[in-house]
Amino acid sequence: MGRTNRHSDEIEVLYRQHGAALLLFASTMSGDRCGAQDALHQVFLKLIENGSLSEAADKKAYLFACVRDAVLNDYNLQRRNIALEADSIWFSPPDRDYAAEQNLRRTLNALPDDQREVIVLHVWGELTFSQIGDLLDVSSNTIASRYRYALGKLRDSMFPKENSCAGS
Amino acid sequence: MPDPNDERFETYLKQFRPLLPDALPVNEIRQAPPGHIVLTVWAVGGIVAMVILGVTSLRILNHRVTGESKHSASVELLAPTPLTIRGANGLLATAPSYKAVMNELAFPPKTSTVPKDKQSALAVLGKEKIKL
Repeated sequence: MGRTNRHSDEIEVLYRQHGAALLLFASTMSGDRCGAQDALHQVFLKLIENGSLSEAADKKAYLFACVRDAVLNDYNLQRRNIALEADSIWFSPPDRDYAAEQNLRRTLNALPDDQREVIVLHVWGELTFSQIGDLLDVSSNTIASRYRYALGKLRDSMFPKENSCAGS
Repeated sequence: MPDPNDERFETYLKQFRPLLPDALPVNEIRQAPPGHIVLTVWAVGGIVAMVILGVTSLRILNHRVTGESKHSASVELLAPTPLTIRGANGLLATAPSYKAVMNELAFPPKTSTVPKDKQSALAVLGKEKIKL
């Protein structure tokens, strides 16, 4: 009983630590924030029941892999086919700049699936290229070049006139 | 060699913090009692209900028996004699006719349940000759 509670507590700590990035990742995959939330809960509740997380060497990468599988299973998607929800907000923007938040969301949504995945996993999931490579079963060099290419596209789309970020 | 523009843009992107998800509904799971506890509660409830039913029916039976024993002096309960093949064969052997056997079986002679010092109203009325 005590062991189960300890395990459950550990899962809850992981949920608090990585829940936001995992939810963003699921939302960018499915385009549906509610569905993404459900998938996230499904993953964590299953982990609490089964206790399979203790066997994972890299817990954070394992969580992202689980969420990815859950979203793909739930929506039966190989390719995303759900339109971006206009009302749903994914980020808490700096200086409450909700126009910038919407711009970022729209630009992220316009990226191809594989590039968007890499951006989200590296910037907000804080996974290394090597971890992302293991997760997506692609070499880390491919992930790195995919990331740079996607980042450039994102920047050009968000700031088309000046070729540098607004924060600089 | 990392591009400084990339790094600055990455820093800018990180200023957008992903929204927190809803709380994990783990408390509901914890609060739900385990299956064996629910089963035990049901079993105990069933046993208690059976005991209550048993005690109640015993008390009702006792009450009835006591009530009947009070009236046993005046009224005697006679169970009808069960019809058996042996009894029917005996009647067929001794009776004068088949019709008499059937009458005997359908309307068996009643023994009087009235005490000796009293009279049956039915018997008295049966003796009277009523003129219509």
